[in-house]
Amino acid sequence: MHYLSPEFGILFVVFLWLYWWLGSARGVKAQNYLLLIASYLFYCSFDWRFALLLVNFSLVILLLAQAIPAPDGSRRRWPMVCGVAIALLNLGIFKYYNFFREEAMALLSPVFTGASLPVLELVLPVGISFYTFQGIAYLVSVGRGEYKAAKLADGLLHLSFFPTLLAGPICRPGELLAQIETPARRALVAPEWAILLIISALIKKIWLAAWLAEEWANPVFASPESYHAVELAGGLMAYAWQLFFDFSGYTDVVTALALLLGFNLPVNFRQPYLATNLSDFWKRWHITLSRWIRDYVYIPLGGNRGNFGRTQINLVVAMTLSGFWHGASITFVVWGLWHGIGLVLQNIWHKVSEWRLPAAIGQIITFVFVCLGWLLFRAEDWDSAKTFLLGFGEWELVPSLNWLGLFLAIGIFFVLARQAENIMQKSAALLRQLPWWAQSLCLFLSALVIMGLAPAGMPGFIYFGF
Amino acid sequence: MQSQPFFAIEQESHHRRALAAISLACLLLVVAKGSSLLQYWQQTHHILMEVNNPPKVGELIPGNQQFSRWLADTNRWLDERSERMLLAGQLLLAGDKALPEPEMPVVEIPKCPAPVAPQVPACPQPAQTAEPITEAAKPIAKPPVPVVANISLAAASAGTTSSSSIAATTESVAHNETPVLDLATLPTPTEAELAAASEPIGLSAGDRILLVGDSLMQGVAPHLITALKRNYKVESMDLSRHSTGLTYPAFFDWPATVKAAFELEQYQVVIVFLGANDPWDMNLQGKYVRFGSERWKEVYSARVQQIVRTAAEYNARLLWLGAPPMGREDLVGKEPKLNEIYASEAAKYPLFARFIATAPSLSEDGSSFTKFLELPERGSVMVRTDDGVHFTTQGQKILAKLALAQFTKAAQSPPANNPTAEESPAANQPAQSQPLTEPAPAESQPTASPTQVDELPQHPPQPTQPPDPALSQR
Repeated sequence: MHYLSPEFGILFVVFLWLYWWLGSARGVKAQNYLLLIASYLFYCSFDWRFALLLVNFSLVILLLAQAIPAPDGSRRRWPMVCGVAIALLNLGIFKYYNFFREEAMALLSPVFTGASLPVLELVLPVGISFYTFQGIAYLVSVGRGEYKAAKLADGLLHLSFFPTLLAGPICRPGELLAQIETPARRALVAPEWAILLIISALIKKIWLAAWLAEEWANPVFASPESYHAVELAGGLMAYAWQLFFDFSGYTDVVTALALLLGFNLPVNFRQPYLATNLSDFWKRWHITLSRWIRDYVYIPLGGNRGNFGRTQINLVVAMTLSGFWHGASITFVVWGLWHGIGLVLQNIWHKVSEWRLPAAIGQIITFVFVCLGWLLFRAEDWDSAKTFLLGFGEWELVPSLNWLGLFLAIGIFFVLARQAENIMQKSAALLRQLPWWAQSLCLFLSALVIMGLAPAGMPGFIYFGF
Repeated sequence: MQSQPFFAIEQESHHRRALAAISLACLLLVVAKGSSLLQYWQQTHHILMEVNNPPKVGELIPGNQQFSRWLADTNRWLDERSERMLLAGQLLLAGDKALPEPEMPVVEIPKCPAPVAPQVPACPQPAQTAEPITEAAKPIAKPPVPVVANISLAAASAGTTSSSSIAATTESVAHNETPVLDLATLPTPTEAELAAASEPIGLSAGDRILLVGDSLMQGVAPHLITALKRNYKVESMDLSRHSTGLTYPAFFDWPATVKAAFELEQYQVVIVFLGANDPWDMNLQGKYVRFGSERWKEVYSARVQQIVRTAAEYNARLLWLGAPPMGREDLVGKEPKLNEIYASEAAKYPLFARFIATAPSLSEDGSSFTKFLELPERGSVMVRTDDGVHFTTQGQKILAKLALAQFTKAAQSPPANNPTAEESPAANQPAQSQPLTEPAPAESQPTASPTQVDELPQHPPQPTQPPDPALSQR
């Protein structure tokens, strides 16, 4: 059951009534229990075994976190180390076993001919990468004394809260757990933002991302050799925007759901393609992941406390791991490496020279660099990435896709991105003044128009795979 | 959103207002899109509902008709712009080469003949005012099935009574001039003819291939299209659409779509690959028909046969790829029943159709679902995705090879020179997987198709509405 599916929408509306009624009748605690039950039921709708795995994982993390504070007021270290190891092992088995199996067999084959590790037909539990990271963030926060160990029920909800369960945002305990634990009456403070975010999500996800995928990204990536170089460039840019619309539209709907439940989630995207350099890009793209990597990989490695060279190595390691987190394949690793090396080059430049590119040029270079990275992100193996790159030498074919239209659309996207903040604020202010039924009509009409313009079918979420 | 404006200082809760607004919007959407919703649910959850007669509450809303018309007009306008921009883009990049070659027909029927000058004359406006020409010719018993290759159109028009825009726009569309064979008068094929029909199908440059199927085909099609173009210089039209099949014609009607495609243009070969959405119970005039029951098989066979017959009538060869073994819990072990039907229907027209089992190429024991396959050149590779239905790129390539092994260059080159045959693990497949080409009587009036011809629409429908991405030429 996905967040933009009709069945989820209808169930969620019914659930909202129950939830807010319970809030006024029984208070926040009852609401939390209801949320916990709903979250697990929601997860069970994918596969009950996923829910079993999640509850096991959560209990281990929560109990270990409770074992951290020692009676004498100090903090034990072993539960944190154990917990992180268990969390990573759990993730490793489900996500990376087959990757390492193939690599290990390739390594072993010259020594033991015919060596074979068993094939495990594991299904990747949806959302495992996200809740693992959220769990580690919680455990380490408790271990560092930044946050108090939570009660079991609160902790369970923190790790299974259904809006963030499948694909983030990855919340720090101070962001989500604190809101769960607070005894204050829950309030829905900005309904117009929820409505606006739903409309924005529909536009991005159902319409734009689906359109870019169907008309451009899918055909071009499926057989790059039959397209003109300009079409390939268009397809790559279209894929870049598709990824953004897909994931940020997803985040919008999740944020709206949380708002309707009285929660605020951290921001995940800030118009990443307006970034003027690569580190700026990572402060705008999937922010909650970037800061997780910074807090729990980059800084523990030493961060920028060592010399310049050491800092760059830490950076490359952190980015490569971030790439590997995205998927168990060598192309993702290289994608992370690509960004790591890009960041290092940028840092070297910033160190040796005071001179900076004009913002516009910096933005173009960053976008091109990121797009080339997306090529690795999308490619299933080396050959397909190579075929695509070789395709840039193809200037003889007659183009069969409307590339002028696409370039125009991408131009519009860039202009709108610049204005997005402003547009959202103004629309929210406008929507706020309307009576509830007019707000409702706005939502209804936007949904109707978007469904009319969008390609048919239920779009999948790219990020669920990670 | 940057500064998270919803972290407001005020803590007054507006949840009543918000709940009212969201609920009303939800209710309105359900009312307006009721029939699409029902179809969506039937398609995704296989909940049996009376979709033949969906509640038409949406039509009662004032302005709903105008709204849909406005939406359709907007889409059409956008598509016209996009056609012109495409042409402009082609002229910019490729110059004169972009102009259509006179001897090679272009797959996509251009709305207006491609002009030489960049000054594009206005397209002939589709006669929007024209009354549906088919009103008189409409079969009385059955509601007309709108035949469109676009699901959104199919879904939208299935719920409405008027398909006037669809009917009207078809007037300007060219027709396939190939004479339709009368299958009833065909003589019984001789042994020699049958033997010839079971050899690889000859393709010559300029031939056209129609690809039909669901998401399984969507994965395989790109590989097929590229290889066919490279090896045989043939053009392919990929109509495949996810979530489609033969079980829910109200959602998407493949027999009619294939017929419509042939009425517009001639294809030498049709390749069909579907079934992932089909092993479910049907709902026929409100009656529940269980998957695999006799009645189910009968109805399903009739639909398969309509497709096979259409290909045969237009003298095209048809490859029906069998449904692969499934690993998803609710689909396990169901595909042999489908394959049985495909195989037996293909065997009724041995001169035209052949059934190719995919299972032997996709599993080690030849029948059960396997996610990983030992390939001689690459070791153990993953061929199926985690969902237990779809294919990884490797799996798609295996299937593409399997299909390609059925072709050879027409005329001079003997079958042994088939370029793909040698490397293909499936090269020896045809013989093995085609136990059904022995002279089955070419029955002219097969038994289980009570509705076959009448059910098809009388008017050439409209698969070349420009918006349809599925129809863009590769």
